[in-house]
Formats: sequence, structure tokens, C-alpha cells
Amino acid sequence: MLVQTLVIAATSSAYMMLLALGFTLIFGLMRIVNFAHGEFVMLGAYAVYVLTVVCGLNYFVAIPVAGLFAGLCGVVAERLIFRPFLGDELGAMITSLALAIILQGAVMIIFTVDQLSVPRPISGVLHFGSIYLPNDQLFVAGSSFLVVIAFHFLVHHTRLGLALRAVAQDTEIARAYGMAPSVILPLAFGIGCILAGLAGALTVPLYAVNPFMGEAALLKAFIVVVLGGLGSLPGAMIAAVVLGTTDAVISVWFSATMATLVSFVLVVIILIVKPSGLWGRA
Amino acid sequence: MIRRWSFVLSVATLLAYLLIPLLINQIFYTHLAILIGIHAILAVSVYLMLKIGQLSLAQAGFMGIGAYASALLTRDVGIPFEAALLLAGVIPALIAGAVGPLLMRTKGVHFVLLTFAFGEVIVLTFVEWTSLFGGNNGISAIPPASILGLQLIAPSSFLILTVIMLSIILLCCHVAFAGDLGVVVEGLERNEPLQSSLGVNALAYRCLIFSGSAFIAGLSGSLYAHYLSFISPEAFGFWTTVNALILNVIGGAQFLMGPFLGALLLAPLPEIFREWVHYQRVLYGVALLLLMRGLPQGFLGLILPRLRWGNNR
Repeated sequence: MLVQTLVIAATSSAYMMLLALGFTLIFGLMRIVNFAHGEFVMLGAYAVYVLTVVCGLNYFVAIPVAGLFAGLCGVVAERLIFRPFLGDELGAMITSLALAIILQGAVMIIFTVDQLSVPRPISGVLHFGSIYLPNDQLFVAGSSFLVVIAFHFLVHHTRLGLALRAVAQDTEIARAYGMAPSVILPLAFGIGCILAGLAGALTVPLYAVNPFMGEAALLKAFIVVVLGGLGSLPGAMIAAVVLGTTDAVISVWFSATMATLVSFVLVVIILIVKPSGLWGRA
Repeated sequence: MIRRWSFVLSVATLLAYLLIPLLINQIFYTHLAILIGIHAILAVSVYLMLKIGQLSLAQAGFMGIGAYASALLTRDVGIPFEAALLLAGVIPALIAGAVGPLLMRTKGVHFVLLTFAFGEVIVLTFVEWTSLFGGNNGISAIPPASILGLQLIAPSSFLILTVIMLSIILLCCHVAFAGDLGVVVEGLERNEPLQSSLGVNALAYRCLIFSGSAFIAGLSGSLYAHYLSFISPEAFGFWTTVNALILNVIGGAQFLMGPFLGALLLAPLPEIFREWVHYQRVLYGVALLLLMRGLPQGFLGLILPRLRWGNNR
């Protein structure tokens, strides 16, 4: 039971990390609270559905394609929609709500509101002695962690990552050193949306797909990011582990609702003690 | 002068809004008018929060608390509708007053995120606490509204009640903001440290507005419950608040009549174009985007003289 709980905790932490890293990256660079973040998760999930069920592509090929598709949509959204609202938090928020509504409506028109499902590409369990571990969950946890490691490498060991961090710290000085925000910001938005799209693509076989799935994802991203500190990447990672673990433990022993309530209370308490979040800048 | 004219115009609009459906006397139009009123009241509660520069996404949750409170109190406890209507405002106001000092310490983005999460928690409570709230099936057979022994079963009588409630709420907001409260609130939005240095307890005022907005949202919930005689949790989710926000943006979020105008323009659409609900979502989104870009003061901003757009920094 303990090991199984740990696997669930790892899966849920990894999923939350993917959600929260993209969300917090976008906020950190652009001060945009992206209410459409959950809808990019949904785009990733629907892309996998179209690629595998409709086009008959292999699921493992479909995952990166779905991620890139979500990322591309993100770049387009940043260029077309969010650009005029840089520095206007409330305006950007309402704009992102509008984007979320448009994406939801578009998906409803194309796919109706019905639940769709993607056949599970991985089945079976690994067992060591008396411990049984479901393969599909191990796959989600493993590949999510790989994505997170790749993202970490991108941010900390590449020139693009350096530019991202520079713009997040001080846009003006970064601009003075020759980093064009007009290139960096859409890229960052796209990367954030790739992470969201991958989160959707990886978890499609576990959960069903519907136009309203974005809301739950958004709530998860919110809670993690607020706990970790808005805009803080290490904060998002640590908070994802903390909340993923509490979430899994409480879901297993009590109920999923109890888990959500407890994580909410946790976040409120931490915000009262330290309003900027655990690792946030003031 | 402009103030007086806009007041006269507002009263005339409200009267026309009441009388036209009554004169046409067809259930469909009365039904539309009642929905407009209920949406407008919720939108006013969002407007109050926007007035102090904060966006609260828990308003539909407060509407839900009012709806469930009113429904359960009349149906199971058997208290009269008048008392239930009052309690439907008081209970959410008390809850908002209790969590307000915690949530209101945060501002801007953090406040939005916390109220979003709080609203979700309220809906989750309705879904999961099945023994009391009936879970996803909701509550049905809610008794119709009755005032002083007069049962408001006919839609036209319910419309009169709705319009009276809306008018009282608008009038109260108008009077409150015309007085000291308006000065303090505006000062808080413009320069909070200065106001605090003058001895204004900023947190207390914010919490007062938050409670007031929850009170109004609760009233709309009660009307909603007794009009439809059926409620279920999904009616009080995040998107209901977002819709109320859209009504504000489209009507003009810095005018008291903005939310009502927004409701007048938008609330009938889902009922008139039932087949086109999905397209309508896209349309709403596109309209919202275009308005944010081209007409940040909403439609009232076209008619009334240009005012400062408070929340833009």
C-alpha cells in the first residue's frame, strides 16, 4: 500500500509540475495570469485524440506532436492576443478568460461536449514480490520527470534559458543587453504551453477528454503556483511535490475532495504567514 | 447635471425593463426579463469588488450559498420566504466576513487566485456533502416565492419582485457610493498608504465591500432558486462568475448601470439562440477580446462622457 501510494504521489507530483512550471514561467516573464492554461492542457489532450484515434498514429509519436501543437497555439496567442496587455494584469487576465472561452467553444463545436477516450497504449503491472505497480502510471510519472529535467536543463544550461531568466529578472536591462523581448516572450509563452500540452497528452489515457477538463487542471496549477510563489520555478517544483504527495496520500486514505480542501487550507495558511509564497520574491 | 440625467435615464431604463415584458405579457419574455434581473444582480456583486480594484472569482459560490440556504430553509425548515431571502444574503455575507480578513490581506493576482480556489471549494462542498446538499443531483421541489402570504407563482409577479430587488440594490449602491463610503473607496484605490495614514482602516473597508458583495450575490442565488425551483452545483461554478464579469466589461465596468446594461444585452442570448450555444461561447469570447482592445469602457463608455478607467495601470 505504501509503495502504491508513493507511485500515485509521484504521478500526481509530476503532472502538477508540468502544469505549474508552464503557468509560473508565463507569469514570471509577462505578469500574465493565464486563465487559459487549462485549455492548453485540453488542446494537448484533444490533439492526441485526433492523432491516434482519428489519424491512427502511434500514441508515443503523438505525444511530442501534441505538445508542439499546444506550444504553437501559445505562440500565436501571445503574438495576437496578449501583446497589448503587457503590464496590465487585470486586462491580461480578462483577455486570457476570453481566450479560454473561445478555445472551449471551438472544441465544443468540433467535438461536441461528449466524453472521448483514447485507448490505453500501456497496460499491465510491474510486480516485485507483493507490490504491484501499474505500468501506465509509471510511464506518466517517468516521462513527466524527463520533461521537467529537460526543461530544467533548458532554463539553466542554454543561452535561451539565460535570456529567459534575464528577462524575468529585469526586462529593461535584458533589452539593453540585446535580448529582444519580442522574441523571448512568445518563445516563453510557447514553452509554457508545450509543458501544458504535454501534461494533457501524457494523461489522456488515464482520464477521459472533454471540453471542461481545463478547469481542474487550472485549479491544480493555481494552488501549486501560489504555494510555491508566483513566478518562481524552483518554488513550483517543490510545491508540486509537496501538494502532489499530500494530494495522493489524502486521496488514497480519505477522498479526492478532502485532498483538494486540505491543499486549499494549506495554501491559505502559507499565504497568511508568507504572502509571497514559499519561494516567491516579494 | 450629467449625474442627474444619468439617474433619470437609469430609472427610465429600469421602468421600461419592468413594463415592456408585463405589457407584452408572454411567458417567454417575462422569463427572459427575470433571467436578466438575476444575472444583473450577480454582476452588481462583481462590480462592487471591481470598485475596490479587486476581481473576486468566488461570487458565483456566494450565489450558490444563498441559493442552497434559501432553498433548504424554506423547503426543509419551513421558514417564510421573506426571512429566507434575507438569510440568503446574510449567510454568504457572514462567510465572506469570516474569510475576508484572511483573503483580503492579499491583493491583485493573489486575491484572484485565492477567490478562484475558494469558489471551487464551495462548489465541491455542494457536490460532496450529499446528505445535506444532494450532491450533483442538486435540490428540487423548492417552494415558490411568496410575499406577505401572496404566492408569486405567475412569472409576471416574480418579475416584479426581481425588478424591485434589483432597484433596491442599485439604489443602495448608488447612495452608499455617493456618500463617505464612495470617497474612502476611491481613495483606497488611488492611494492606499495615504488613506491609511489618515486613519482609514483599509482592511476593514475592503472586508465590508467583500461582505456586501457576497450579500448581493446571495440574494441573486435566492431568486434563482425560487424561480427555477431546482438548483444543482454546476450552476454556481467558476464560469458563472466569469459570465458576470463579462457582463461588467461589456456594459462598462466603472458605471453602476454597466452590469445591468451588460445583462440586458447578453443574458437573453442563450435562451433565444438555444441551438447555437456553442457558437455563442466563441462569440462571447471574441466579443470580450475585441471590447478589451477597442472599447475598454464598455458600451456605456460610448454614451457617457469619458471617465478615468480605474483599474488600468
